[in-house]
Amino acid sequence: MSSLVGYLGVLAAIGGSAALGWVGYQVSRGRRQAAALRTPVLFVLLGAVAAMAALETAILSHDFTVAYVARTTATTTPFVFLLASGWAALEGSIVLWGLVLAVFTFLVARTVATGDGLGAAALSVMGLVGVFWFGMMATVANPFQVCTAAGAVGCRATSWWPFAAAVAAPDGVGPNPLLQNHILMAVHPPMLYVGYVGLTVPYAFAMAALARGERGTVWLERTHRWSLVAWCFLTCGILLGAWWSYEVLGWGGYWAWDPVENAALLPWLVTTAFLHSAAVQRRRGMLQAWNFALVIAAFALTLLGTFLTRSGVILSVHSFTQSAVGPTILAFLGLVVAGSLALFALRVHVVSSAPRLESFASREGAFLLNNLLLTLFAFTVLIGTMYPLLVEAFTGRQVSVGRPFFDRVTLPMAFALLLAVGIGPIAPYRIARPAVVWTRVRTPLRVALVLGAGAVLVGVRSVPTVIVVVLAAFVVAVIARQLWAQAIRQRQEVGLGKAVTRVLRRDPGYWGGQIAHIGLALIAVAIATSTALAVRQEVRLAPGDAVAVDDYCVRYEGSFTQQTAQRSVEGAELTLLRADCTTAIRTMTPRLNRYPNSSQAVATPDVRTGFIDDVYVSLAGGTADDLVIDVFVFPLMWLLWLGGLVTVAGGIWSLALRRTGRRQTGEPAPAGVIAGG
Amino acid sequence: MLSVVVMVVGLLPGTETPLDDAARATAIASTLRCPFCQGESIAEAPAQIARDLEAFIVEKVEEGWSDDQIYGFFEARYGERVRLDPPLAGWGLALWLAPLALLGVGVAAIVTRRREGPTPAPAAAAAAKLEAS
Repeated sequence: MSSLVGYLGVLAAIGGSAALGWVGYQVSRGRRQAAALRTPVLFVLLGAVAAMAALETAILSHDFTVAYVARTTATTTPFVFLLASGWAALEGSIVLWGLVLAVFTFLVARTVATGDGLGAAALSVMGLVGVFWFGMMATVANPFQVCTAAGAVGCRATSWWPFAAAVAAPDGVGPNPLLQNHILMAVHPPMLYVGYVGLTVPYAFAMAALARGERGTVWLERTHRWSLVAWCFLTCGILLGAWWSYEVLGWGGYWAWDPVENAALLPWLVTTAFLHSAAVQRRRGMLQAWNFALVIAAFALTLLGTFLTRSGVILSVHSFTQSAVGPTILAFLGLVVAGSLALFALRVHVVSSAPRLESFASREGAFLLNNLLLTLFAFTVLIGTMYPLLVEAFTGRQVSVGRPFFDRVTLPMAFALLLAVGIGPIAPYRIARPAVVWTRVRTPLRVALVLGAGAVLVGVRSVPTVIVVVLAAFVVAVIARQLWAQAIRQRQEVGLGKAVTRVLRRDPGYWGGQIAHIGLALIAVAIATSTALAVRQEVRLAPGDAVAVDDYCVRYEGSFTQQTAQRSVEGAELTLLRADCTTAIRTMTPRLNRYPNSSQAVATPDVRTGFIDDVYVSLAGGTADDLVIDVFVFPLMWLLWLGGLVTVAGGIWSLALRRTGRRQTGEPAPAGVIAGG
Repeated sequence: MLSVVVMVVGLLPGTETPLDDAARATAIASTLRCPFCQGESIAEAPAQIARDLEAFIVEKVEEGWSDDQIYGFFEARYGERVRLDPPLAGWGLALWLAPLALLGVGVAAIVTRRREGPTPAPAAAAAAKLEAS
């Protein structure tokens, strides 16, 4: 029953999307009223909601006649992971994608009134994108396939025909062990998807603007909030992924330059460039061609990311499926890239008429440099990720590109970016006279150098780390100094605290960005210290033994086992002590989680987070009497997560207070547009 | 200025110490992929095979094997894919140089576009917008 309802929902969504594509076009040409959009949009939304609801109902009621349910869940799966299974595996993730797209389509449609040709055209584009995603759900990635022959566990044969004779498997296979090991797995994908799908909106408006030959910044103004929201969610999603990798995966790191991690980083880099570049266009009308190119690239990269993750084309920590989905996404990606670039090439001379850059030494110049650096960064990550694929496709050889390449090549770019982040935002527009810049930079530079010297005095001997400390301190000091300089002008009237708040509120877009830059600086320092200054030691212990590691001492108390319905756990109980091996800090319990559906156990570390450093312990092998563990000490690890939060907070600040939108173009705002949006 | 001196003095010696055996072994292990894991390096992968291979590398380093000999051994057994570093020859070299190439192209494009001269003066509306912002 759920299969049928779900499949019908998918079909309704396809119909609605196709209709939306057509009706949107008609409305944009003035041949129909905006009210005609309502029905297609409702079909899309209700169809998508029905599909998701049907899927979750089937999962939560353990309906093993649905092949997806039998493949990805089991009766022993805990509730939260059951719920998460709705999107954790291939077909379900596309249902979630479709649902988010439908909701966003609905929200955009609410802003489109009669006469709003741009909005209607954008909706048309979103409808066409929807045809692809819902079309996939109906064909190659069908979550409602019916189980027609059951095995001991799971289905042995399936059919896409909803009325086929359904057989219920006795039990499900259960989620992949990595997907039911930690609660974060339930949250990380939806965050990323909201970010990915959110980028569809600026893309749709950009295509609409190009197709209609519209000048000006209207499409940017209307989609600015969407782009910001998408960026915030992407940032969150990436941070959660890093945190999950650190807390759950036991290899002692948070970023592996894994292809799927890169798949999320690429759109993030390009969207960051887009947000900056769009600010310049809104303010000065420049960089229009860049903005079109960036938004097309961002959207295309979300498709590429989905392709890399879901097609099984790369074996990584994430991808564990293989199906016909890959070629389909690749084909759509090719279509999108070819079509968008063709439209761009045809129209860009019409829509870009901008004042030229007067001087490279200016805020505009800094933004241009920023565009170049971020694009370069993204390009490097892209070719590094794609290289093994391409080599294998063309020559059959299997090669690898891993951390050594990415770290080495992106490090200088990261330094350049940090420097640009420091100077760029305080460079005056049009022409930056050196004297002006120097007054804004002089004291922060001194502070930064002193802190760098301080780091060396404290014992840091790694050159890149000291450079990062100097650059990051420079960034924070420049921002602090500027905030201070603007606040003290008002200090006479109101208190200092209030003066600071007033400054922050007066230009939330700018100060939100600066807050995010502070977060970035913190992240840079944390990455540097936790990499260059980390200590790793493999330790062999018999019960009762204690071994010194860095400034700590680890004592092995004994092993333990645990059995739940979901999994069996083998772990070690260790006491973490101070260097004297007598003052106890806390108990650490790294463990191996074994799930019934897989022979490979998931090593789960235990982490003790402290102010100076994190102590991270994970099981590496051995037996209960001869235990082998990996002990890591990561200095200032908490700074990474704090920096991440601050970065997202900066994005939210830009969003939340942007009530007085500045209308920069001569075009009258259509009646339906949300004021200030 | 004093700060700069402190930093230079403090860091200069650090950049000249040669890698000892353990550090060399770790460096080699982190540029070799763990063959039966999921993409991590031998140094990073939390698997028993990775520990065994790491011990093997340490052993060979102590026996006096050169980096190239160890890499060669692994490549012969597990194929080219075990190297996490693209080689500095052929297409691998192209990969390493590509970012520099793109940087050059980008800078050149930006500079030459600017030298092409100003576009027609912005309309009065655009100028008014600039004043208002």
